[in-house]
Amino acid sequence: MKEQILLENINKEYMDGRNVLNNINLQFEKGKFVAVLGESGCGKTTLLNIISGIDRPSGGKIMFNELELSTMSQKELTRWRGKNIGIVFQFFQLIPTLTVLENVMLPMEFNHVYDKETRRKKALELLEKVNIAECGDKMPQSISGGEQQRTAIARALALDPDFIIADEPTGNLDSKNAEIIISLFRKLVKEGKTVIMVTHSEELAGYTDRIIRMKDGKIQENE
Amino acid sequence: MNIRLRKILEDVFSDLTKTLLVVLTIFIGTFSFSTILNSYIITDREMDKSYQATDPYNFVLTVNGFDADFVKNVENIDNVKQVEPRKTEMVQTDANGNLFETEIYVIDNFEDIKICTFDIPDKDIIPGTYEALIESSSCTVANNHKGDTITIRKDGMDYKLLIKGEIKADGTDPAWMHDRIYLYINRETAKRLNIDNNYYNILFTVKNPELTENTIQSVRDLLEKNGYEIMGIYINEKNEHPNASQMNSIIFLFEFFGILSVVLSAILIVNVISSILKKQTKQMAVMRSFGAGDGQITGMYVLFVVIIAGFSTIIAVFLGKAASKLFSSVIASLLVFSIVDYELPVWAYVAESFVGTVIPVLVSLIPVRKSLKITVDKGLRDYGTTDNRIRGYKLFSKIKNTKVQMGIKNALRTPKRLISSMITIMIGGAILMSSVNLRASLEKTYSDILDAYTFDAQIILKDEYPDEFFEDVLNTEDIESITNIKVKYNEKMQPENVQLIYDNSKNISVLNIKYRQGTNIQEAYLKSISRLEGKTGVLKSNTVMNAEDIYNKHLLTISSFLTFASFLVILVGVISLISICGISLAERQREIGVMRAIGGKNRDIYKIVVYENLFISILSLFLALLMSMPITHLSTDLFGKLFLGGALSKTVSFSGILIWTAVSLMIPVIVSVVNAVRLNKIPVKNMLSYE
Repeated sequence: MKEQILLENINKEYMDGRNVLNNINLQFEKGKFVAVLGESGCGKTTLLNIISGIDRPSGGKIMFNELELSTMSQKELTRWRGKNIGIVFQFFQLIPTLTVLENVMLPMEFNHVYDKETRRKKALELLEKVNIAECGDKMPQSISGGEQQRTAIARALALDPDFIIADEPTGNLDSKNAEIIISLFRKLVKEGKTVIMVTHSEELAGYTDRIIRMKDGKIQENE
Repeated sequence: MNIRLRKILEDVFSDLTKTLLVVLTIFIGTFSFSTILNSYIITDREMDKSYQATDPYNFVLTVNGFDADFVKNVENIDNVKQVEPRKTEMVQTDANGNLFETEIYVIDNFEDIKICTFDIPDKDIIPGTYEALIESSSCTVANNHKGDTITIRKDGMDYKLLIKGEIKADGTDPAWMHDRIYLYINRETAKRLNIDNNYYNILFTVKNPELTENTIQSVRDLLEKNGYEIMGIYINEKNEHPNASQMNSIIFLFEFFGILSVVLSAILIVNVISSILKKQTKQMAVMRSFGAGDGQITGMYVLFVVIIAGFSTIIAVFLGKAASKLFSSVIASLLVFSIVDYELPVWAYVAESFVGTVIPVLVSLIPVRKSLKITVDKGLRDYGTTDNRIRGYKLFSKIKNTKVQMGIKNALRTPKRLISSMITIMIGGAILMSSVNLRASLEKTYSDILDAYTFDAQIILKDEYPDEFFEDVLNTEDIESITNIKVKYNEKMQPENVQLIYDNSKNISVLNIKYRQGTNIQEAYLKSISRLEGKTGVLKSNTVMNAEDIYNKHLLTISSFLTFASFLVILVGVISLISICGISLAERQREIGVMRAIGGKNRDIYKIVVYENLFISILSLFLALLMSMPITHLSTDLFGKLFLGGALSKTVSFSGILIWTAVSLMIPVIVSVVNAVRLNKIPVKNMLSYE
């Protein structure tokens, strides 16, 4: 069966009555590079948070294959997220007390997968994949922003999830590093991963397989 | 409302937990200082005031066969202000077979007590024949109160006296501490009790204390010219309350703990304010980016501290006053003096307000100035977790357990705060352990003293007798040995805190009796007394067992006081421990959000946080243990000199170490779990948000 995430009639209303997402219906299938475009405040990040189980919708249903995410407990969601979703943040959000290699090993440890040696081996493989194997023993502060973001991608891949959620992953990088990140995502998609990326950039969106345009909490275009 | 002021008020209420922590920190420091300073002012002033109000004597002449009516002849001697004869007799009170040392004062005229006075609240309680007044702190010794009949044992005879009333006699030795009873009777009752006129005390006050020696000589000449034999002369040179030396040691501790609590609280304030400002780094950078000057920003945060400190200070000063009232009255009751006036001078309020507001403002300038050193650019890029410097990470990277490794590295992320927090936690722990060690050292010293006794009971007789006398009188199978020591009467009867400048007293026998093994010492002791009383007068007597009771009461007083004084410092230490655990966690909220986003479960987060806080507290525990050693050394020397006139046997108590270890292990775990549970309830998306 092909892995997929299905969003049906998703609504998100905040305490102050603001409707951030309005009747969203989307389907994400394995092996696609998807861009979510839209102006600030249109609901892009909220949409990503709901897909990744970080936030819950006020109404509607999210299905991961046969699994309904909206009814899962926080604990179940955490377990599910660790196994199926990799997250890449705009500001990298690496743990500053751990080396680059340890940052990549951390999700494996949290989810109790592999033994210690295998974790190290897998983490090194991932760093090689994102071309920063030489940074393994360095601390996050001592490497460049681009290298930090590649570390964050390696960390997102640590549990070999099918879906990578990236919130403005190039927003804090120069164009050269942004290109490296995008080509890395394309490589991952070729390997069968799905990357859902929020961006402001039409240019970067041009590299994706599918563009979802949002405005005022609604899907304006889904091509 | 001024926008800047509104921002400050918003900041006060936006992170209520931290605001409350600052309030609590300033409150504890100011409250401790206020309680200690007020108690110091009240007790120091009132002890002397209440003692001077009793019109204490300047000197005492002890004469044999004195006729109280002769007093009028010495009243007109130059420089004599007041004269009052007051015979003191040592007897024993028999309460259910137990004997209590009892000091009876024969008062010439209860309606005209001139020297060493005490208040008689109601004329109806003035004792008549076979009646007595009891000093109020003696009431608990043999459980005798107004209206009860007390049995006096003198020279083998029992006399029953009705207690007509209770009086407070400031300046007497604490009865409860010595297991002693003080009674006041009139001359008629003294006659019925066969109290003789030997060793009669004549109390004098003088107009000019500088001429006391001349006055003593004139009185002595007159008495000798009239055929009186002077047995002893005491002079009250210090003219201070008999318990003044104990008070001085308490005052020393007041000063020590007062300063300590202010210093610890100041360190804690710097830590808490730093953590608050950490969150404000970006806001500061934003304000500076549109033209706010360093002075304006400093002013805003100083105002923030002033608002919080002002609020805390008002409560602390108010509660400190109430606590000091309570604490002073406990000290007054322990050391037997009255507090008439609890009023505090204006300078005390000024000093407390200074400690509560100016010190927090001054110390808060340290983190504020430090925050302002961060460039606008760096401040704007501050996302909380990426800019920390790690110390010694390479060493800790070798730890195989990642959660332990992360916990320890997290603890080392803010080295300055770690050090200052550890200092406060360490001092709290060291004070606790030292207090417990001091108590154990006192216990050990008392136990050594008791072990050194080679006898079971001591009986002091009114006269001197040869050894053979006791062989006849005390010839019982219970006794293993008797040692008969000859000492001067005045040596055993000299009041505390005065100097004996002339001693003509006779020798008396002090018997140290060792009973055979297996003998019921209390019964054998009573039998010995009863046999002696048939033949001679007993001045004082006691068993080593009773002495042990008295030592225990000393111990109880010292340790109660120590517990109270050290409690405040320990409290600051504990709050420090709580705050460091809470602050570090609150600061890393976003980092925890990231861990949860990448699959970290609640128990993973708990573990990291618990390891971090345990690392800090265990490190502090070891340092506290090291620090407690010199403190124990110094405090045992000080207390030994003050209370026993020599060094104490230094003892390290494991109970102190155990208590602080339990505190050091439990608090981080509890605080970490409570905070982690709280943080885990915050949605991940909120934790990840940048603003």
